[in-house]
Amino acid sequence: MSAEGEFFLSIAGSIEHGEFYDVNNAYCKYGFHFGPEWSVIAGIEEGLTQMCKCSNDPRNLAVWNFPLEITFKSTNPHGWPQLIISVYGLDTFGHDVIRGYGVCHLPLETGHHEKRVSVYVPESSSAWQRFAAWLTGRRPELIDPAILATGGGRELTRMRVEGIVTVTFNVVLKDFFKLGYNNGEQRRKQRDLS
Amino acid sequence: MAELHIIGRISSAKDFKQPRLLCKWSFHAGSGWKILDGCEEGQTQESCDLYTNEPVWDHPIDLYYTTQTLQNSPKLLLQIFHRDAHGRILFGSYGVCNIPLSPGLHFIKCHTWKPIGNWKDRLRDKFLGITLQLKSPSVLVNSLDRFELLTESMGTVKIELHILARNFEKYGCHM
Repeated sequence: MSAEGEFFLSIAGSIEHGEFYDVNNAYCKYGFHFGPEWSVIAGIEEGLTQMCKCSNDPRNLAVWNFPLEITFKSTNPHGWPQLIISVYGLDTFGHDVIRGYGVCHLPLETGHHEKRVSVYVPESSSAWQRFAAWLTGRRPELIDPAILATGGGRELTRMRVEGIVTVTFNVVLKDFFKLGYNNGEQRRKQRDLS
Repeated sequence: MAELHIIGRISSAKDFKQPRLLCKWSFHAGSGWKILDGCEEGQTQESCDLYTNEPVWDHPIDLYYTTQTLQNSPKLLLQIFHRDAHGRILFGSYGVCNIPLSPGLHFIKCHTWKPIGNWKDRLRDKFLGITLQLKSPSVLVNSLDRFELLTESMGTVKIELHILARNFEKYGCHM
């Protein structure tokens, strides 16, 4: 089934929940960004969670419990896929506004992983613009959140941290070690056994 | 030739006095190391966290090196800048850290520092925000001329890197 020199990365996970400083409802949009040598062979590349009202207790959690399932194939680890999260929610006036962007690499090791991804929003550059944005609901947004996953073009963005999103991953790698790649986990297993 | 992938991110900063920070970063490696793919230098977003004062950058790094030698393995140079109350971007501090070569996930804390000169320079720093800077940041990589410097400690930068190695065993190198 697999061609020479290819390896597969299969992810089953979920976007568990978000914790925010001052947001009381949120939904989450996700997508993947990966290098040119990568391709998706199964699963859904982008999606949208339900809108969740934050829990009415000190945790202030927005639970999405949203499943992620995707399989990639590639010939080169360069361009390893990244998960891009954009959180939106309704503000006091009922406008749909951005609540945060976040990005993380998919784990490079097999097994269960939990990642906490900070999310941040672009800031208005002056107090007047901030007020106008609050009033009209037209807050600064990124045209394409994929800019977060590429190194360049982030010089002029000003961000403010708004919260944290917890994501879990279960990772399976196929043919990765056969190609001679070493991600450190085999040695760790040996050490654990001895 | 042995191959090394460095995949990860410059996550965040902590223990800086200034709230709004940004970071310029660059990788330096000896001539035996060749970069095949990926961006060797860049600049992060400007970020702040009003509650914890730990600005998050989450700037992705994805580098693909090939090498014939272990000498002069890649180092990461950091320059931290901050925005002051008047909206100016001012230099903050320097940091340099070695990239671990052993495969696996590494959480690195890079401590940073800034040069301070004589009392006149320190006054200018305090009242005008003009910090002394090195003529070329590559001084950071060599360890010869550091003794002349007088410095002050600044905050810490957190970095998260996955290292993937290939074919190092073939040449008898165990990392």
